[in-house]
Amino acid sequence: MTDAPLTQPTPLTERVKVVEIEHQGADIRVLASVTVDPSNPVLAGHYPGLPIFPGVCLIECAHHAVLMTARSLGVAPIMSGVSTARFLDAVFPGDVVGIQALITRSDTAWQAAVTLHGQHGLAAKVTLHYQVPGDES
Amino acid sequence: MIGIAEIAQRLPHRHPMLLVDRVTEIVPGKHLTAIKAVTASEPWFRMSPPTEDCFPTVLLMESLCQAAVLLAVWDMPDSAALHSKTMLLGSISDVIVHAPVRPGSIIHHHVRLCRDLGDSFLLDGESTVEDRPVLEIGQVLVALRPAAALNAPVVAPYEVR
Repeated sequence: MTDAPLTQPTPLTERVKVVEIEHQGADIRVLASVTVDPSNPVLAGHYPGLPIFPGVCLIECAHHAVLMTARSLGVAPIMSGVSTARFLDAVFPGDVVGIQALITRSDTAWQAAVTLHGQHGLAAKVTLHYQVPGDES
Repeated sequence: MIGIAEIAQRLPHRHPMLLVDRVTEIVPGKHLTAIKAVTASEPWFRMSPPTEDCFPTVLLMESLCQAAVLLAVWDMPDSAALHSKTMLLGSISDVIVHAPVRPGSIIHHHVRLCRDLGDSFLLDGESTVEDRPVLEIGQVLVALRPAAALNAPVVAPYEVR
């Protein structure tokens, strides 16, 4: 697994670490984690005096877990939609967030159902959709 | 024209996460149109040298959601900002990404209030660049919550899809 950073513009200064990738037929289970960087500039503005890791940054962490998994397969997914994203608990600077993703593949479309657990329990549940040119699964 | 001062009275977000620049049309309780100009000097384009130049999709969502929050709290300046209450994004659903957005683009957000539940609001909307759709969101739930209750889940008094 390559540990090189992703090159897309992103609000994350955090590096999502993929811990495990398990193939189950065409599906892929992914375990990853990320630690919220207290010096991430987004926290200064979200919000002044009350830094909370933005919900959309949790979506971005899930997205990065998918992108890093895809890179290990040699494909580059393009996000085409988010069918649901529910934010259940606030995540703060320094928190460790555990990421569990189930990626289901059909032709060139991927769906990633992702849960993100913070210090106190489930922080967010998101389902992301992708077009994946060249995936022959 | 409604600029940053009026926007910052209603949104607690600040640089670099204040992602609405101007409100061009507002009918309180109904709909709102807002503008966000994307520039290469925003911190997400920090990669050196730049390899790709798409505005992050999640920030496009955030920007549209901020326009939605503005509409939701329009008649409550200061109540959402900074003090006793915090505006939280409860959920978003049925998001379709139509096209990438690059620096130099002027994004127009069009949002509509679907339901006002007192301290929670359901909205929908879409974003365009040069009249072409770049994003649509089927449903946004935003909720005003006391800052002290941040560890409590944001749950609406109805079933969220």
